[in-house]
Amino acid sequence: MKEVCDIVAERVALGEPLGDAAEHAATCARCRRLSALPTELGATHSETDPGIGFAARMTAGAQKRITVRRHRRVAITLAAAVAATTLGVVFLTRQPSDETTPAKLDDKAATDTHEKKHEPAPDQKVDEDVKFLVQMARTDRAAHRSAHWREIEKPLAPYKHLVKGTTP
Amino acid sequence: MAASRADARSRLLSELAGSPARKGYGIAYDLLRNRAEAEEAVQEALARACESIGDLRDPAAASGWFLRIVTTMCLRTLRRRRLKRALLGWLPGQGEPDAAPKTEQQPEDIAERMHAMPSEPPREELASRQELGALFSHLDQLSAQQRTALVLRYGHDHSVGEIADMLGVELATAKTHLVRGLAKLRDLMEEHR
Repeated sequence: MKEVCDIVAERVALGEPLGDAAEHAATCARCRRLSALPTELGATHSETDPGIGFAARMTAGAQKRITVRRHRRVAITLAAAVAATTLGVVFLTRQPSDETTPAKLDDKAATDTHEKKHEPAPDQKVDEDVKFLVQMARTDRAAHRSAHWREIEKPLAPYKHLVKGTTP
Repeated sequence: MAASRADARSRLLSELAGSPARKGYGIAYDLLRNRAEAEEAVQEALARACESIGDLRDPAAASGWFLRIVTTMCLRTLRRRRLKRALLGWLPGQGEPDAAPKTEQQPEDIAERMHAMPSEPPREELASRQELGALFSHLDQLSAQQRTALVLRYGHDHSVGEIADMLGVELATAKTHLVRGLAKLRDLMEEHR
């Protein structure tokens, strides 16, 4: 339940007549003090003269702010667009890392296959040279810079003959 | 399309830069008690009003809408000031949190206000200056919304509904700010005496 002091505070704050709380407000020191506050607060208001050229100053200041903010917005949009484009280009043209190069993956797959084939069925012996040729024939791998050309030690002439259907 | 928008923007700017801006400056000055900050708040409000001209549905309500933006800018400045005080208070060797901004801002602004007051006999004048100085320092201790509500209500004679609108809160919340603000101000003044 509200105390009479609270009722007085509410009525004073909202500018309503005190009514039945008026008697209490006249005798209670705190309520008297509170009732005097609006008058004191009224004294805080001053008709401040903003000075000559106020409207012009405000207009110029606001226009400057609008321009600065527009430039900032354009700069931020441009920066975001450049960043997005750069990211896109990097993503599309990036070199796959060594771990994920087709050559490595193929090597790994080949090794796995080799191991599997050696364990359960030793009779299905895979010709290493043929396997190498098959790998070489893969255009995506062959076109890739990461193919280890220098590691090829055997002369390729016999295999050319093999591809052409003739035996060396 | 763009040209008509620019035209509308410049029309609104010239319309608001007159009487509404002066009224906004009065409110901003009473809330911030600093000429430079008050002008800055009005300029920022004008810029924002022009930028968000699309939000203004009723051109006749432009003045009230603008004053609401001014109040929002002032609230922001008051909150920033309070935060700055709190941060300064945490730093070692900065003393009382409220001490630094008070000595920084009050003398000039209170002096300006005192200058504007009608002349009184010296002793009474001194007493009223001290009273007013105390009132301002107590107002500084209220929350930004309580202080704004009190200044708008008693300094600028706005209704509770208008205050709620300008603060961007419900009517009941605005009433609460007023009642609590007054009660807190009374308590602070009693402590002072």
